[in-house]
Amino acid sequence: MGNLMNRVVTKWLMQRIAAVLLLPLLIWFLFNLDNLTTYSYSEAVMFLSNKMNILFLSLMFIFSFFHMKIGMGEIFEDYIHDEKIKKAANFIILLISLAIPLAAITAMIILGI
Amino acid sequence: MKFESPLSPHLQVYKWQLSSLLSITHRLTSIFNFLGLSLFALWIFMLFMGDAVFNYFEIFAATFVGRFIFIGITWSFSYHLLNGIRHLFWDMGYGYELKVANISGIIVLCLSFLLTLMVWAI
Repeated sequence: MGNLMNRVVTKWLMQRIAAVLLLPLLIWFLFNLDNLTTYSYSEAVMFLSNKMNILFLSLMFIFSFFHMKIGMGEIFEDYIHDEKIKKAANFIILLISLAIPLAAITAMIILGI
Repeated sequence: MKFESPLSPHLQVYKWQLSSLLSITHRLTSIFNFLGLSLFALWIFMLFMGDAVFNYFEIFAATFVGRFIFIGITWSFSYHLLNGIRHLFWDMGYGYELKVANISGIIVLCLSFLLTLMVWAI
C-alpha cells in the first residue's frame, strides 16, 4: 500500500508540473490560433519552417498528452468500478497519448526541413 | 490487503452549486481540450499530406461551424487553464474558504470569456 501511495503522489506531482509548464505554452498557442486557423498552405508551411515554433508545439503536445494521460487515469479511478475495464481504458489512453504527439512531432519535423 | 481507493460520489445525488458546476466543467473542458489538440494534430497531418488535402481544412475553417468550433475550443482551453491555476492554489493550501472559492470561481469564469475575446478580437 505504501508503494501504491508513493506512485499516486508522484503521478499527482508530475501532473501539476506538466500543468505549470503548459501555462506559457498554451497562452502562446492560443494567441497564435487566430492566425493558424486562417493560414493558407504556404503560410502554414512557413510557420513550421521556424524551428522555435516546432519546438514550442512539440513541447505543448508532449506535456499536454502527458497531463491528459494522468488526468484521465484520475477520472477512470473515480468512475470505473471494474478493474479490467479500468486497465483497458488506461491502456487505450496510453496509446493515444503516445501516438498523437509522436505522429504530430514527426510530421512537423519533416515539414520543417 | 488489497488497497481500494474510494469511488467518487455520483453527480446526480447532489444539489447543483457553483463549486460543483465549475468542477465538472473543469473535467468537461479537459475532454474538449483533448479533441481540440487532436484537431490540431489533424491540421498538421493534412498539411503533411500536401496542398490538395490541406485545402479541405481551409474550406472547413472558413465556415461558420469551423469558426464556432475554434472559438469554442479557445474558451475550453481558457477555462481549463485559468481554473487550473485555481486548482494549483488549492494544491498549495490557499483559497479553500467557501467565500474565496466562490469569488475565485466567478473570476475564472469571467476571465475565461475575456481571454477568448482577446484571442479572437485583437
